[in-house]
Amino acid sequence: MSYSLRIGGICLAVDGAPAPRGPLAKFVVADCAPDVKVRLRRDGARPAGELAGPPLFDSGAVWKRFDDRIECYSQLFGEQPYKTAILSPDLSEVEIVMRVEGLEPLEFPLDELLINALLTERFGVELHACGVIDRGNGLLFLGNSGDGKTTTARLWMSAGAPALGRAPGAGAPTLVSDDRVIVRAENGEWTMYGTPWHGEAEICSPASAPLRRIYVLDKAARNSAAPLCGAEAVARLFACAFPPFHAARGIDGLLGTLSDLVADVPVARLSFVNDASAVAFVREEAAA
Amino acid sequence: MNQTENEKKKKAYLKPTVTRFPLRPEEAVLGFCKSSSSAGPSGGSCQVVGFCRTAGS
Repeated sequence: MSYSLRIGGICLAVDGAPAPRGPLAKFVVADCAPDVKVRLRRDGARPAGELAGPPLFDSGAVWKRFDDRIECYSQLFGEQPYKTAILSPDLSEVEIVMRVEGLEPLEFPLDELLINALLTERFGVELHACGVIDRGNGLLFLGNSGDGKTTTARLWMSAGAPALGRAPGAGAPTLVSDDRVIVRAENGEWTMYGTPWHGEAEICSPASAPLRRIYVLDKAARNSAAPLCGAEAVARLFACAFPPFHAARGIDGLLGTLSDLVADVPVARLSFVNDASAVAFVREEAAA
Repeated sequence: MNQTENEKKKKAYLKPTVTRFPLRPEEAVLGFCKSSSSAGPSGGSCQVVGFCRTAGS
């Protein structure tokens, strides 16, 4: 039982688990050179060695990060972690110990936490955003909950982007996610990747494209775009990222990545109306 | 280049200001998932972790 996943251009080779169901299944690939080897143990035994010490970061809810591991918790399974990921220092190897049967080991929040940790070292960032590929150009619509990511996804679906499970028509835009998008610097340009971590519209795709525009969403009575530059643009992106709060070096790296990103890709506050005119406005703005 | 031209090219001094940007801690730390429909932030393991809430995205 083994399979490989590629998320945001990062390859995870998983051993000891059946292929995943649901959104993660779309990210299974036949073969890839692994960035991380993930091994599963279902015996539930606490791993050998030192598991002492206080957490570096406590999310206050479902996970805690220690120097050498991530522990995941659920109200359903008591005070002990229901799964624990033991991390090698360079994150090239991960052992997941499951205390509870019948669960997929890489499901929320472990898959997302692992990919975020790996992105920090790879000039990448996961952003709370809706991603659209329109005529080959990656467009990122950034916002926290309630800012209009799902609304934006539905507007682009109305403009021809296919609904979940449907094939796109010729020239139609492609939605890569309605909630989480990965951006990475690769080969001299910025690439936007879809992720398995969708929002209410349940849109997720492994598709990728060169990133051309970043819009910070702002619901409004009329469509307009105002450029954001420098520190303000970085701050807006940081507020929609998933920073590694436990690691000063990681925060430093994230800020550096975001600084480089806003220097290369235009960022604007997008005030938009909830109708088809918003899509037409963005197409015109992006083409300018 | 004389003194007057140099002075013309200088940028006007702008007093530093502090701008606050909203950060939503519960979202930034992957502390919950939004619904129990499938997987990920809006996904099946949300049923496991038991920290779900309905929120627009």
